[in-house]
Amino acid sequence: MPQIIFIQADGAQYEVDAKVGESVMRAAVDNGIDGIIAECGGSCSCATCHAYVDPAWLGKIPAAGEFEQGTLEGVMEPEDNSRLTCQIEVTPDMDGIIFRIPKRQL
Amino acid sequence: MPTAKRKLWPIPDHVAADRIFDFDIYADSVAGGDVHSAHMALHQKAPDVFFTPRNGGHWMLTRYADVQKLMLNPESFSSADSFFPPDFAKFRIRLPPQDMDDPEHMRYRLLLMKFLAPKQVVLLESRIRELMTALIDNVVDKGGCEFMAEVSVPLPVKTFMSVMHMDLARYAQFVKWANGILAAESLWQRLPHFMRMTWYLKSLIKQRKKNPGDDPVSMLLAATVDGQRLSDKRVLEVCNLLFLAGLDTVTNAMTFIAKHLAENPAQQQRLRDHPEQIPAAIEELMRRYSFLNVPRRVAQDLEFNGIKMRKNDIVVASLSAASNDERTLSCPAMVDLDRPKSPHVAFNTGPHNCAGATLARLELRVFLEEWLARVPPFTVAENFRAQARGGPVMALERLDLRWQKKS
Repeated sequence: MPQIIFIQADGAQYEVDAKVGESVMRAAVDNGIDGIIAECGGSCSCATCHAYVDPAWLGKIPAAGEFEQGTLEGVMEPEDNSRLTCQIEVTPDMDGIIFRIPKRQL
Repeated sequence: MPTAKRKLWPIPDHVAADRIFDFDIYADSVAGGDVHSAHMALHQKAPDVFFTPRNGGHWMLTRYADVQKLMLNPESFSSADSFFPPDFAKFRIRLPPQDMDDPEHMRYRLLLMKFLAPKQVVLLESRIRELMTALIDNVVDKGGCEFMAEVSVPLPVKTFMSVMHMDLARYAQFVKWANGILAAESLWQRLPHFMRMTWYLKSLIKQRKKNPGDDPVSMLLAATVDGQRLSDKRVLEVCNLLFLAGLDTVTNAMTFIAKHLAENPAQQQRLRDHPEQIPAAIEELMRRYSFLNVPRRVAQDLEFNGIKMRKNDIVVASLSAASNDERTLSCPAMVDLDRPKSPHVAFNTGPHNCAGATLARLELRVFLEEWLARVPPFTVAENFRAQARGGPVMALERLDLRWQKKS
């Protein structure tokens, strides 16, 4: 099971054993990681599952598609490494990937 | 209270007898004046998934897990042509993208997100606070008010008009049309107000074409979907959706919340003393007082939890029942401000979840921050009797509040 590292805005770090095939959002929400809201349940519709991918990993995961890019425009404090975690599927080679959770989603 | 004869529709032959439960989403929601209790009671009285012969005949879901399944499976449960109740179907009012499926839905949703996403909504806070302050100024020294007419209708209407860069001088007229459309029970009552609203929006669209600005209408006129500009008709339809979706909903949320705090002085005072707890309280209050009944149309013959449903069956999700499901959390009927999490579907879920949720939450937070800071401890008026309205959007008819008058 690949391990995903979530780092909160206050620096607190959490390691989650993620299931291959589920979304990063699901891994966060099912493991009680605060700060990922995912109002729309993973439908790329609400811009509240936003997280910053560690720059070292950004190029190693599939790029955001058209709809994700559109929705990303609406997140709070977007950066170049912003992603919607509901649109990233967990794969075996994502072991150790780091996501930083924004200060706020709303 | 309308006394129109409530029609019974024939039960389709694929519906098992033990799945039938007579529930009229209008008349039966208002039994006892408490729409939430009426829907929560379904957990004890009716099967989890039942078919009612009212309002065209439709399925109803009352459980959190089932509503999640319904809303997260748009290929099986379509939003297109899911007209409910039946008289809406006669009029065929288009409300994109609420009544569209993907991929078309997503393209329009992205347009709405341009001004409804978190990043844009935060910019509205000071404007909303100004509006709220002025509304409180009007009532605070009177020692009471009719909360809906004086506060919970004006705030979202004026916010909407501000967002759309509409002339606020037209406010009274706008509210008249809004109430006429949203509070009407019959198609014929609704029509004249709808036509006036449509006429006004058409002239607004014309204005923006001549003088484009940085407002949503101008943005919609300049936008392209699949490389094509939107027709004027389509721009009008989106405006209709924004208008219909964003007004009485916020009004109702504010009103249910105000009533709860009026009847629960300890919680009212707690939030007055600890305004930093307001955001979490809003989630718990939205959960407890969810008020929407959302339809979907079955896209093909299927089985839902082993129950046969046919293509074109209508399935209605009671968000109030689903958000108060004792299988999801303990003591759902209690507003518990100390719940670590308040899982709910007040804003629905899935691709069609409320696009205006961020704006709604902002309006509610600013409302409570300002109201609790400036209005003395308030209660409902002594002779106040809650009168409710059922249907797709459940509501109160009025809310009379009282507080200590400034001597």
